[in-house]
Amino acid sequence: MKPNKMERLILDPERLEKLTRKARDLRERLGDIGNGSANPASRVAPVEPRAHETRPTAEEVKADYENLTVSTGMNFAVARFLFAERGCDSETNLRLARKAFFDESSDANLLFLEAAINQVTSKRALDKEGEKVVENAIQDFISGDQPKNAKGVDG
Amino acid sequence: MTIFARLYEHANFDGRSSFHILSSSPLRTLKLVPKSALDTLDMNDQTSSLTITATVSEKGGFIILFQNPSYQGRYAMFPCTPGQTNETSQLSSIDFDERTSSAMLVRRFTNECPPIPISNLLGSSFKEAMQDSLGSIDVSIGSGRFGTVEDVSNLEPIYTWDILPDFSPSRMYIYVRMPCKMVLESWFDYDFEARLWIYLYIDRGGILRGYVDWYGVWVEGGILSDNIADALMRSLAFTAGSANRPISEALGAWESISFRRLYYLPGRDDIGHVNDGVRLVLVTEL
Repeated sequence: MKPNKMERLILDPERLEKLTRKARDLRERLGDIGNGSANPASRVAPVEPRAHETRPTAEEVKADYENLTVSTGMNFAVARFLFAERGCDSETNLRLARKAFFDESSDANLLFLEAAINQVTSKRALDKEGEKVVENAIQDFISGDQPKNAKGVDG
Repeated sequence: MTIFARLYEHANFDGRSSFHILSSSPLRTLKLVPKSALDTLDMNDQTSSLTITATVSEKGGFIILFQNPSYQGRYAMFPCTPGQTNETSQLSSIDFDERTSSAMLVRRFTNECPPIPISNLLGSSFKEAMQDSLGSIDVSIGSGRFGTVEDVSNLEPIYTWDILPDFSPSRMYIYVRMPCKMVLESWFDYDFEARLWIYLYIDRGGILRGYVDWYGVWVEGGILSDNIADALMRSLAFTAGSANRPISEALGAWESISFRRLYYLPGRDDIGHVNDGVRLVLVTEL
């Protein structure tokens, strides 16, 4: 109800009485209606499949999900914790992360390598020497980053 | 074969930076950088310049910056060139200085189709099915009929995306929001949105498939919000699935082509808002 309609309603005793009746009716039907929070309400629910509708298999969903990778804050935080546990400096952590990625180019080792580079770059602006350390890590990473699937960007 | 981006704290590639890699071992299409990652690196709302590099064997790709968490709000896409580092020295030039709260790296493929706007893909039959389904809703509260949905003949669905939502954290969705009004008898009207989450996937045979996986509503604040939301959900439980027929028909046009993967791009252009639309990119088998 727009404000101009509401204003007209308030000035119309008959309609106002009707509104009061409606409010009374609502209160009877719904109980403590006045205790509503007045916050927006939102709901979400799954759609139940109808007969003969196909749904993806677990394998198909997994294949779709494996299209993407996520580096969450938790990943970086865990990596930071493990680096601290080692007690090594940033450069040593970077060297160890590069070696781990070459030994096994998994998502987990990629995240460690990414975290090791970020440990260096996100703390402070780098001087020339720091940039060189990061650049070497990136170049080593690129040379080892070859698709296992020979198709590469052909799908 | 690698795409990587570096986001810098200051203009002209100065200050601290965060580094994000989309590797090819294993080969991925997307790398998501959520707000939590930028927070941990103390880089949320701190990006003022960037570089994106692709090795020579890549086809191309993008880094996409988003103003809001969860890949929402305004966005800007920055393409990469195989064998080069592309630089953007001043994000202030596109009003994106210190505004990045999530990001995404995207890999392109040689055998991908041009992006298709989802509004075009689903077409008018999907919109009409939604109009029919919403127009037929009667809301009952307590024991009696209470309200109806205002004329939906001018309904304009908002096509956008919802990436790894909390209720389904391993899927990327086309997210359709339909703003409507609930007209209540002798009572105040309520704005609401009916919402559908459409999941597209490539089946084992390479066929593009899709269906409405989740439905939902949002109702503006008022003392009846919860009652109206519950009543709408009861109605939509029966009607949300009716969108599956036009979806199947739309995707049926592609059944003769075998696909390998799919991904989405936001909006309509390189700069915009995710609510402007969403584009589907299909990668075919060679």
